[in-house]
Amino acid sequence: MLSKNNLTLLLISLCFSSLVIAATPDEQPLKPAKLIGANQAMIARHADLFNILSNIPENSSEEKSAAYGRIGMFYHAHDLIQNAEDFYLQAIKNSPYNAKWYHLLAITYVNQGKYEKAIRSVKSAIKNNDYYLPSKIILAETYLQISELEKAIEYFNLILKDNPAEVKSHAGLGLTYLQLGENEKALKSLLKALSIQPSANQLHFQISQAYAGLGDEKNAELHLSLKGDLVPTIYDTILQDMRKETLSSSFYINLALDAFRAKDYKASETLAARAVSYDPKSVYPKFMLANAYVKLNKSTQALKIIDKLISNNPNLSRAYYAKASILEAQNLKPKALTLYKKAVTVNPQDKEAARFYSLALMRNGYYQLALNSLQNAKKLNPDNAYLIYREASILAYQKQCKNSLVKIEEALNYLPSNLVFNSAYIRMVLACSTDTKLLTKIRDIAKDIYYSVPSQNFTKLLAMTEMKLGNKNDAIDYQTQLIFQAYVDKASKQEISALQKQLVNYRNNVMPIITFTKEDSDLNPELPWKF
Amino acid sequence: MHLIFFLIISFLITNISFAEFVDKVNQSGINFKHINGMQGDYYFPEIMGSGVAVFDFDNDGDLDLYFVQSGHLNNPNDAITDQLYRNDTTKSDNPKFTNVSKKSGISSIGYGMGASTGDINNDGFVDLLINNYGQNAIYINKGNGTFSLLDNSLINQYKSWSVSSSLADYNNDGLLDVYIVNYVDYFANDKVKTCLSVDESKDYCSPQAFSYQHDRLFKNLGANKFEEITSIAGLKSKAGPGLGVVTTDVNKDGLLDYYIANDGEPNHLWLNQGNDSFKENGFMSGLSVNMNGKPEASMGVDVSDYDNDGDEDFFMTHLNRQTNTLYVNNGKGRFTDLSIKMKIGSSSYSYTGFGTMWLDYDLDGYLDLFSANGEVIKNQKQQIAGDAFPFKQPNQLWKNLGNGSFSESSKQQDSSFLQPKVSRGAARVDIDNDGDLDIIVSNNNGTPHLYINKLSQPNNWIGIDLYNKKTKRTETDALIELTQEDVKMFRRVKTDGGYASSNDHRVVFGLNSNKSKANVKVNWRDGSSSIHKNLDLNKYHVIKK
Repeated sequence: MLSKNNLTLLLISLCFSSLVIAATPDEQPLKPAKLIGANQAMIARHADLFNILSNIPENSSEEKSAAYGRIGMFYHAHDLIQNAEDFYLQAIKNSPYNAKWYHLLAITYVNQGKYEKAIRSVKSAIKNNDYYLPSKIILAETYLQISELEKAIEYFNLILKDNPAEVKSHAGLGLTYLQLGENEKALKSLLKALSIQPSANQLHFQISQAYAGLGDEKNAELHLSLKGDLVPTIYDTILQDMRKETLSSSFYINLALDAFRAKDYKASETLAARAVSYDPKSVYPKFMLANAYVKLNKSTQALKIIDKLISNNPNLSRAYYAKASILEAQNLKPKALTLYKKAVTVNPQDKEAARFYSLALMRNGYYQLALNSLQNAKKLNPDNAYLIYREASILAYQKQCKNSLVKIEEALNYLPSNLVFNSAYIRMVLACSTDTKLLTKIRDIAKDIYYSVPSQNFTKLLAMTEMKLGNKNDAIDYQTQLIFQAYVDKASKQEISALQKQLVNYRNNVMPIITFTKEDSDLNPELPWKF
Repeated sequence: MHLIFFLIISFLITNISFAEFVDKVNQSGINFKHINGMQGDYYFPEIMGSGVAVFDFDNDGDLDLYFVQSGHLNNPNDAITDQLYRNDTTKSDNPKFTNVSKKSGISSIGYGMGASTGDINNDGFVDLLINNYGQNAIYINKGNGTFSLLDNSLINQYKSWSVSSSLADYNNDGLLDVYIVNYVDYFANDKVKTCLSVDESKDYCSPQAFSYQHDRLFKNLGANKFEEITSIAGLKSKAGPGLGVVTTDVNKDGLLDYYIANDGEPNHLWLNQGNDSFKENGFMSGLSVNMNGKPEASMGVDVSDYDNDGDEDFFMTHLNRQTNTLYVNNGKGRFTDLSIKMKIGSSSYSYTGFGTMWLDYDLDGYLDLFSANGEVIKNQKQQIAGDAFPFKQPNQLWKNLGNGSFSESSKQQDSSFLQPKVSRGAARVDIDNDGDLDIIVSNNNGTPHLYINKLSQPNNWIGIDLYNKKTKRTETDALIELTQEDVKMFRRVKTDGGYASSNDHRVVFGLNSNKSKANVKVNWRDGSSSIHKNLDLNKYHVIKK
């Protein structure tokens, strides 16, 4: 009777299918606040966040897609599944090859029990990113949910072929075999899952079921006794996973960082504050927030956060040099230096602390101390060519020609194309050496750079080098170019006058004196917080 | 082309039989409306709804209806009371009920949850046990259309939150004992507990926010006296947020066992050990948690032999995003969650089910399934539309395909079947005594559904009504085996199961188009059996012991 019923329905469907007009929804850009009438209270509570998230960029489809997707994730985490679905669809529309949104859309479909749609969506995710394992797991598990057991087995096995330690797939395979009554196969898979994740108590329960199915009461009872409280399980709901991801500090930290890099410090502040609220014990979000405060000229608030961090974590070296950089910007240099040193003291292995201490010493004119400190910083940052460059700069300032040349060449070994290093090298050779071979070498370097990356600095260095090599006319030519460019760039009268004076000197065979000033070894104070 | 389709369809339609449920509550005379008393404070009991009891209170051969009313939580004496409707149906397609509440003498005040039926004092008249949030109550049927409250019964002496109960003879002494399922501790200060939904708006709490109450078991001593044996029975060893209960003999030892549906915690199977003691064996039996090893929010439960293999299987309803669960018996009292294999899981994923039942609605010999659905967390779309009670969902029906698996047949019903309400208790009942089973559903804060079964081309059936002359009542929990040619089925006589409700005590066997007479063997509760041969089809047979 059933087959007749189904056949009847099928025929009726076919009969009237030609009369059905498929409606295509009119796609309008979505605005977050408009959608959730019944959740205005929630939007009000998160107004600061929605204002930021609603700022959908107009320029780039990728950025637009990311913005829609983030809103979708926020709704999803709050169980507003329909809205999440709508925004993921918008995200996909703007970036049709981004697997992430297909994956999350599939999850919304699973949350709504729309399994066929979930399968289509997650297959699109896999098509766009064949490496993303969670999508493949969802596909296999969804086939299991809709009782397509053979397909579930097929897809679980496909996962395990490339990921033999994927515990959910072993467990999923075991469950599928349990459904089919193939208890031996179920047992094999479940025991494998348990060996990978011994803390997954619910596997004991399922193993017990498999043993019971095989008539092995002894082992069935044994595993039942091992099941414990059955929590945690490896089958947390997908919504819980979504909430963990979206209502998490790291989600907002990433957004805060994006905003910071885009120089939207106000947004960064809001997002970092949210990150702190989701993970009040973590220090990283607090640094991010302090960072934003500094950029918003709220140094007092930034210091308050950092002082609290220091009070709770007296060995947190990062907090000391973070505070030091704020005080240095406020021109409280002695206090700042003390704190930079403190950072190194509390954690001698902190390579950032070592780096910033040595740079701070340099900035404040303590060159010998800076040199000593740089040795320490280099040990902790062995591949940091910039530290070597700083060493070379200090040595040049101290007129230690030979040593400075050795160091700058060492820095260039790491970064042979670095323009700053090359410029310093040329100047050091000009200042220290009369060796024609060496001068020719730097002339060639300067020329290469001059032709590939036209810059005033290298034109000037080229002029000097040619002059020192005795090629006066070439020097005059390059100097003339500099003057011409200065006019084009509308440089100041003083700059042009200085260039013209140098031209006259070249005509009169007067070589410029190369000296290294304190400014060469200076480094503009920066916020020393890398993220 | 369309003409060919039309001819094919016409041929098929005239040669197949299918059932269609039509909601006829509006024409029936039933004007009951459940009131949960909600006023925006989100008191937990408001969302639980209530049940409905089906029983023949006046012994006139048809089943009457008792609707449990809740009322206002802060004013339990608000004079809003339960309602009793006498079945005056004469025509099979025209149900008719008369409200006889006032005459009945039942003034069940208190915040009502569920009802169970059974002849507690073996006087030949079916009595009522009302489960309340607060004190429970037993109403003794005086036999003249009226009831009286059984005062000073142990059962009404304590306060608890009980939703379901079962009246069954666990010790085979001929008297119906009382098992009361208790939910959570929710009194006084608990009312001020605020719970939020995931979207951070105020919502009803879940049971896990409270401590659990253990169930209670009362041994019937006769003469309207009871003895509480909860401690002796061992029930105090495990408390859970119980909502549903069903009795059966899981291990076929002749003693009735109790299976409790717990909301969000492992279910309990209390195996009767004899001597008034029970042992909880849910995990060992495979009935405690689903195939993922996770406890589910179980609300309703029913048990019967759905695959006609001689053992009874369980079906449970759950919260949305959990699927309903089918536990299939391996014949040795061990169960496996085969919801996925039998295709009964995924179609329920988006629904929250409460009342449920096994019923052969198309009389093809295979037990089908019904679930009364209604949310417990606010529905976003309904909220946006301004619905003051945004928890509505349509109910569901699944047809047993005969091979162990199911196919959802909800959308093949009349449109009135699919009208969404906040359904809770439900009971199977043959309102019009025509053999096909109807369904009565109690809806939270709303009017009930009365789904009348209209079979397009009736299949054959036999109805059995077991009567024990000694106990003067229905022989609840007796087993009936039917054979008809090579077909063999067995069913247990029971009124419990579902959620907060009580079912038709008669057993209907669907016989499809088979016209042969049937033989029936009754296994009575005292261990004896009787055989009844060549029973006529398409009628109820009262078999007396």
